[in-house]
Amino acid sequence: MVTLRTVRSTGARTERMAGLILAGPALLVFTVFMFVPLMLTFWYSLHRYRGFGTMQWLGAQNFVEIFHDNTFWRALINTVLFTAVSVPLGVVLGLGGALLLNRAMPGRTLFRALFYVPVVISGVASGVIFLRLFDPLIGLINQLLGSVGLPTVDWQGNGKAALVSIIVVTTWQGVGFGMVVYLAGLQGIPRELYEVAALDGATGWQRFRLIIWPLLGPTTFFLVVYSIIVSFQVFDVVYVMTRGGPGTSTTFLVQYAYDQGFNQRRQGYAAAIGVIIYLIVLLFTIAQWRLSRRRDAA
Amino acid sequence: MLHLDRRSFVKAMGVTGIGVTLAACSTDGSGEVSKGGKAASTGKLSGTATLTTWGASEEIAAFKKIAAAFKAARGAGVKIEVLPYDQIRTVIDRRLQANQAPDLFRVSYTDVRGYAASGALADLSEYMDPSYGNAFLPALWGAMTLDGKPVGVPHQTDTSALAYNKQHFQAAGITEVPSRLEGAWTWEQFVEVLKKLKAANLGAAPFAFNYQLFGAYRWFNTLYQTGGSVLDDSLKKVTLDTPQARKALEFTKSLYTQGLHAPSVLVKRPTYPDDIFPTQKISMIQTGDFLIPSLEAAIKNKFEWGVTYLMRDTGAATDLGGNGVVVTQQAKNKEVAAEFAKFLVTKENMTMFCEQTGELPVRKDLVNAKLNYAVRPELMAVFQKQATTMPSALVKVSTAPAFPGINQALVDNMDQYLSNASSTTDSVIQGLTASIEKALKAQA
Repeated sequence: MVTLRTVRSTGARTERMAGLILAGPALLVFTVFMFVPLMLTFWYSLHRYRGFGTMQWLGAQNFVEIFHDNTFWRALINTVLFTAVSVPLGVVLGLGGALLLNRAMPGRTLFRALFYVPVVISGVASGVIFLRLFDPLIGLINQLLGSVGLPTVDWQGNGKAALVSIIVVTTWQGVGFGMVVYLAGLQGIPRELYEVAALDGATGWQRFRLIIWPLLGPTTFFLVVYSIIVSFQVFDVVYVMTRGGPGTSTTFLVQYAYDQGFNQRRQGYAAAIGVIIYLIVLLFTIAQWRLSRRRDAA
Repeated sequence: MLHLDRRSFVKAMGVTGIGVTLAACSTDGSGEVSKGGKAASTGKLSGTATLTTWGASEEIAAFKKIAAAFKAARGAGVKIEVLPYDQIRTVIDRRLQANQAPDLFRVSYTDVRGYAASGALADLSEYMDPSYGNAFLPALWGAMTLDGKPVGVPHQTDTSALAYNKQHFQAAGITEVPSRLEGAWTWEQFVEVLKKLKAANLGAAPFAFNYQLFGAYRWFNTLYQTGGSVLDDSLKKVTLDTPQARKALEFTKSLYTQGLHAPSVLVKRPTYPDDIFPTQKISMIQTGDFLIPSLEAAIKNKFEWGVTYLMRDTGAATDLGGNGVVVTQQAKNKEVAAEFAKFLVTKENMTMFCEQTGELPVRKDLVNAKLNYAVRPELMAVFQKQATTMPSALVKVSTAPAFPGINQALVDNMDQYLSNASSTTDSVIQGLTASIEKALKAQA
């Protein structure tokens, strides 16, 4: 005899099964490509490992060595500096682009697409293009500078110039994303507010300061935290353009981890650096998550 | 007119004392496995193997030609897989890690023992007669063995000399270029030549070294030219805190600070002088013989260029370049791989490969042979003569298991030293010593 309890129990089981089937592919991908590599990174970080051959247990020795590793601290400082410059720059330019392309103008869709193109170009391809452009001897940028009588710049031999070239390229890559996010934010602002402001005689700057900027707060917050996370993971452009040089001028954390893992064949040490990057990014992610939750609750 | 003396090259490559003894006259030097041995070298084989390599187009064409000849002779196929030079080590390492290594791969002499010591390479003893290695220059055969067991075959060697733009030299009033090794420029004369090039305002950097990334060890040319050394005879102690090493470092840096070296051509970045030389933005470069075909193809008729000997200080010195081919422990078809490795270095095939690619042979029976180089054979004569100046101590260091770590120590420390005007000689010596000691310790 089929009771109500049996029906409920069967329904719950079916629901659980359906849930598992629907979430299964995503869970599988997450496990294989995220969870397992993450756990392996933790495991490797406790060993000496060349990448092949045998592993040797070291305990926390890699982390102790990192603490005394001047190049690691240099890489951390470089990463923080890079973040401090490139994140505000990317946000401001993204906002500027969005404000510009949010108004009616000829070719607006084309310009929006052009701004976004760098986002979809691979970092390596962008790096190769700019490597040629910034080449101090045969690059177009120095040729242009020279042609108008300006002094040429040693974009690859001078540490500061090399850092500037990296910031230029990563900003060029990221502005399109910031612009699209801000465009979405701008289009979420009710038109009535603009109309009321116009009736009250607000200037353009007042409209921006008193309406647009406050209402774009959540968007800006998301973009800043997201950009910080991305900045801490910058690698491809650096790898192609400078390999962290000259010296350690453009050595960022991921580049340093790569260098240790693949050039020095110190995969355990590289994994330990990876764990530290993970913890830093985790801190920002938690901060973002908590602040978002608090705002949603308010 | 250049006078060639290859016997001194053999001597240089044979007295390195890296544990390989030459069994006197026990072979005819053919490099072929004797008949009736465990592995006959003429029987039909089946299946395929993959050889992973990097290379200029001439090298790849030569590899493919030899693979086709192997297929015709032995019945087994060999796929030539080409990777960019910058990525070869990383990709091979990852494939070894993933248990997906190719059957064979091309590897520099400076890297072989690092792989062998990690157990990544196959012991080829069963495919090679005990006297097989006698066919090759002892130092290079030694580089292909671990504890006396062969892990591959030496394939070719190469070395550095100076390539120069004849138009630029003419414009700068440099009318004489050394035509004999004994008459190579001293460091002082070399600097004077660079100063003339700079003063001529040719819109080009006077000079650039070729010690980038995996080739960073080529800076040792400079070190050994002034009588310095990297490690002591036991290969356990770093010997860089010496007046000679300081002099070599300061000489190198002075080229940058005086504007005599292309400032953007450093150590850490893949900006190679041979890519820039054809654009006439650098007047003279230190370069390898293996780049002659690609330089000639890039320059075409744009300008005339020549080659002369490396500068010298208390003595002449050049680096050990070149590569072998090894069989991996994970090879799916070890027999085909081993047989192809041997086929690659028969007298006929090594001759063809070197002639087409502008490289130097490593078989003893070819060292004194006259090769018909396909491109600019007159330039090859300079490299052949320059190769006789490879210091035996440097060859010994270059084939040590810790050498990849030593090279990386140079990449990190020299880039910083040369690019940063405030970086001191003391600090780079300390940095190099600490990094090389770490590399030695990691290998111990």
